[in-house]
Amino acid sequence: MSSEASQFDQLVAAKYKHGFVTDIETEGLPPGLDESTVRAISAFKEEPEWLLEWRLQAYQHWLTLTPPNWAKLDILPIDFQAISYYAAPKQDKDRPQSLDEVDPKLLETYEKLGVPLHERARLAGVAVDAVFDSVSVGTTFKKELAEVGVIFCSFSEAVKDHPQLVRQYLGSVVPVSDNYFACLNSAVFSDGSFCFIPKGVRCPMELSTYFRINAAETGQFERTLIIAEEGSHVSYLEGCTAPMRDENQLHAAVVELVALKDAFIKYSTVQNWYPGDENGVGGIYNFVTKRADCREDGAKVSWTQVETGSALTWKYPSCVLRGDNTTGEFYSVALTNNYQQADTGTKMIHLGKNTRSKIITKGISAGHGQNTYRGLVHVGKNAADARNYTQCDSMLIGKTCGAHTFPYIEVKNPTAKVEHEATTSKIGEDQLFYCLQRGISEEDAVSMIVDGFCKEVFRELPMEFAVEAKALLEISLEGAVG
Amino acid sequence: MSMILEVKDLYATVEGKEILKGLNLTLKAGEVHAIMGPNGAGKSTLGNIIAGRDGYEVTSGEVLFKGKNILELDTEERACEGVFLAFQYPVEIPGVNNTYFLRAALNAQRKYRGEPPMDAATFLRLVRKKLKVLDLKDDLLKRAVNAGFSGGEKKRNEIFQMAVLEPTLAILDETDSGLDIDALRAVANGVNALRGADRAMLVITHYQRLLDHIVPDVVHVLADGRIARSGGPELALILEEKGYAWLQENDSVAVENS
Amino acid sequence: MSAMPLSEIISLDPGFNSNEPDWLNVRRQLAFERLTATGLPVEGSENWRYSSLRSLLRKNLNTQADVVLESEQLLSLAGLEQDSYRMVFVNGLYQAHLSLVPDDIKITNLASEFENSEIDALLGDMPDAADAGFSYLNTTKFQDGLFIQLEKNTLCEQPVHLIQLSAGDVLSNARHIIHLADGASLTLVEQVIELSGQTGGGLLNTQTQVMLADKARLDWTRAQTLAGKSTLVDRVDCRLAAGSQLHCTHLDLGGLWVRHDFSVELQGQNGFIEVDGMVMVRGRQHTDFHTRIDHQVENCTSRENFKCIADGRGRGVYNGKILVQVGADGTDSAQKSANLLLSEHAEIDTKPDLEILADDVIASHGATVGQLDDDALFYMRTRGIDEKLGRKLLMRAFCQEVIDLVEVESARESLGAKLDQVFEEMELVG
Repeated sequence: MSSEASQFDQLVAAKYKHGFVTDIETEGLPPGLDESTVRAISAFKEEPEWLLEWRLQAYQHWLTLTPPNWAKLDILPIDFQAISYYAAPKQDKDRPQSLDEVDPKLLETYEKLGVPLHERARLAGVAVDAVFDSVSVGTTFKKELAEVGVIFCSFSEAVKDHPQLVRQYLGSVVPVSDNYFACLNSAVFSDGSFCFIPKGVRCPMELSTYFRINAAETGQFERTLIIAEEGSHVSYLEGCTAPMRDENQLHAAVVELVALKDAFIKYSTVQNWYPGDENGVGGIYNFVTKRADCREDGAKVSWTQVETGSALTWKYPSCVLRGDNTTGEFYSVALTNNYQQADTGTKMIHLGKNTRSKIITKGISAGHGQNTYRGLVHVGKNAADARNYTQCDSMLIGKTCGAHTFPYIEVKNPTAKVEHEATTSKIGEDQLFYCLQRGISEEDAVSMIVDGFCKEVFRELPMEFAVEAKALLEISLEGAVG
Repeated sequence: MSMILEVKDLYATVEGKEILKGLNLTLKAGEVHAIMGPNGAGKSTLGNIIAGRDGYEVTSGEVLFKGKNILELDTEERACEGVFLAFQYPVEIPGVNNTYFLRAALNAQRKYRGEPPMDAATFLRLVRKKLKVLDLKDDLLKRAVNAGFSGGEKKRNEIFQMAVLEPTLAILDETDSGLDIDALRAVANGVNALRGADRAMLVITHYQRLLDHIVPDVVHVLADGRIARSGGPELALILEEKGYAWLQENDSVAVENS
Repeated sequence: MSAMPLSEIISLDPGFNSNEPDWLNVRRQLAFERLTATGLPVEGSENWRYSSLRSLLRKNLNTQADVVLESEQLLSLAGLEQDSYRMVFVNGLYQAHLSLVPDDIKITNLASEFENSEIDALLGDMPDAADAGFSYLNTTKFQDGLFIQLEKNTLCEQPVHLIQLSAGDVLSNARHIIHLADGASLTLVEQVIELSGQTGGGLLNTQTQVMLADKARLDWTRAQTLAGKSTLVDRVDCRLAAGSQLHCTHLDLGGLWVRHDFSVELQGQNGFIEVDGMVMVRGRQHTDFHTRIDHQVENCTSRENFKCIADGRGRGVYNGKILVQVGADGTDSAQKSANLLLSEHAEIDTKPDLEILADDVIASHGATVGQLDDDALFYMRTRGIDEKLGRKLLMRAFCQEVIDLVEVESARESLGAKLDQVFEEMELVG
């Protein structure tokens, strides 16, 4: 039998099977950042004056900030002048003209993940119109949504078509000055999604980038704004389990959710950006500010994330439980392999009365990966009868990785109940032996155990997404054939 | 009767320490053998070596299963060949559903034998039938593998798995430890229901009481790494009465039977 | 010298003192340089995020006070018998006439050992960190402290009491060393108390180094019952060799502003550390308890069980860090922080941290913040126990788990009695 050590070596040697290089030229701004860059982006996008002012204000503030250094992350200095802040959308003639021109390995991965055929083409960057009529697919859904009054479009479109809504809510959850990366994003954001669910409407379908075809290439400074009016209900799926084409080193996205009275927003993410190679070279730096404001009574927001990609992840999807009887949830699976680092968690800010929050996180470290949970549960003075339950579990695979847990619990109200638990485990030799003794192969045993470990989180994902997320974890841990 | 297990002059070490010192043992189809012995005699080591646990090194001798040298096989291959070890300490696997686990195991074994996988509906029927035979509750199927089970539930779950997987050789490692008398009876009933002409069982135990319920054909006494004595069920009673110290005093008397 | 604010005291150069050995002068000078560079920790740094020094820095402090204390008075204050072994310090200065030690083992005051060149080595490396200001301050100023050095396999049968008295608005810096050689064993009961009748409000800045050699064992109870306005900054550094054991139980009932830093390095295999604490904050009390347990080698065990009750405008802070270094397989570590928040103006901040770099470990922590169980209160009331008594019983039950860990029976009883007294004073019906 192969020894435990070599099993783990193989296990952690699983390659990122999704990366590929593209030399297609793009038009856009040359690298560099100053006030004129911000003005140029705004001009390219033909934005109104108020938005330009907003961007400039953000830029001026950003100049006064320094990058945060409190996370347990080993970050190479980022040269903000070496980044190009605006790339024009690609021309169809520059894209692969059919799936035959796409790297077969990439297609194989799509196959494994069960990505629908037409979606594969879009993800691989094939000029979509050459393959199928994406516009009509997009418009079909748009029509169906429009019938119930749901607005779902790119951020740029929203600025043009719904300026009042954008102006009212933009920056109302994550202020311009919130943090270094959010501030940068406010100055230079390229595009993103905009979602508005009117009063009393239950969104008839899950909204995902799949349907948002014309906003597929949002670049590295994405900005998302979702507004759920009173009594409305929406489930939003971000990203895709399949690899996204991306050559950018730095991502700094901002996501703002506004939930009004009794509204419910479910936001699911599967993040699978390029993690760098097995020596820790390359990979995406992912700095994301995600925050939900349960602004009025009875609102509920549920975050679910599966983070398997990026060289470095800095991300704390949070809930401000401002209204009475509001609820925040955070479910997370984060996997770090090779030299990946993740410092991720959540903030649950209890301000209203009778607020509830629940945090379930599963961190898996393999290779030289470093996985940190960092979370804040804050119960304010007036947050009577607040309740929080937190469970943070870590799993270590191999002897060269790390798992860290930093929970901050601050309670100022004597009727609050807060519970936090954390455990650390490994894939035990005895568990593996037990599975093998029953005839189950080692690779299956490992994925079965990891899947069992993550079950509580996968359960929260929309069904199709859960299947893909499972497959993704398996791929990320592949190579453990005993 | 065909030969199921032949252990020939087996020497084995654990962490450099010699535990088995020339052990011989033969099981034929349809037989139930009990292995008794004082703590540290090497009882569990024997079970773990047959099943193929890491860290147990065979220094000489052989173990034949249905005439085949199984020491060359991986743990899961041995399982697929029909070797089942009921663990002394069944392992907890949180989050992995018991039914799912068992179906994965059964289908892995079927695949090994070149049979098609069993579909979910057929499997569920099979499982419910076995539950009934073993007088187990349905909710066992919904829970995670051994997670949060009581000691008795874990042991019953082992027997239940054995019933579904239908091994050729079942090794029961201290299946009686930590059980109260009711649980013991339930486990024994389960085991007895699985006795059959094609199957051999090796019951490893420290105490005689299990053998009141699972009556063996042969009792072996394992002491200091080898079989010190073999006999009929009455040997267990003598041991119970006189203790293992009696062995040393009567070292010269050999009781052969088998 | 007249009283001056702490912020000014820290800028006083210790200078060269020809009465002291060279090693001490060198040490003081280095500490002063570092203190000048770092100052005292500023609010906002990670380890001090919940504890502000602002009012402490403004505090006017003297360097000494005239204290006359008779033996009888001390014994009653500390609850000791005539023949209890004891080392007594008032504002960090040794009181020989109040102390009593066995003559066959080495328990003495540190100043009497200054000529012993070993002391410099035992004091070890000075910390080099931006937030080690209080440690530097202690080194520049300490005059004396407890020195215990037990030879190989020495057992001290009777518990030894360390009594630290705070009197007047004095800044005192005590420095203690406890060194147990292979197989030695000691029970130490430490009390930090206020000498009544003096104007309160001093600052005790104590620092203790504990070294346990192979298979040594220290049972240590630490009870702090300072009066209303006194403040305490306490730092303990422990190093545990193979097979050694440290059992340490804290009880913090007093003080206006209290900070503990309790750090343990498990340097040899099969080491065992249990550190527990019961903290009570009322009025405007602020107690911040930091622990750091560093598993450097394989097969060590650590246990932490901290409880805090916050009432009035009190604030209880706990930050427990468990580190499991690369290769420290077989680590077994558990940490618990349980808190009761009883008043609308009180606050609990708790942060149990895990940093794990080895995979074959058991490491878990849990933290809770809650209130007394209403169902239990109701149940008791249906049986005729009134609410006030019910609350008292439940609080006592909450604390008992920690109190029960105190090894020395007399100490256990007196701590229990002190707790009861506190409960008696509390406004319990909400």
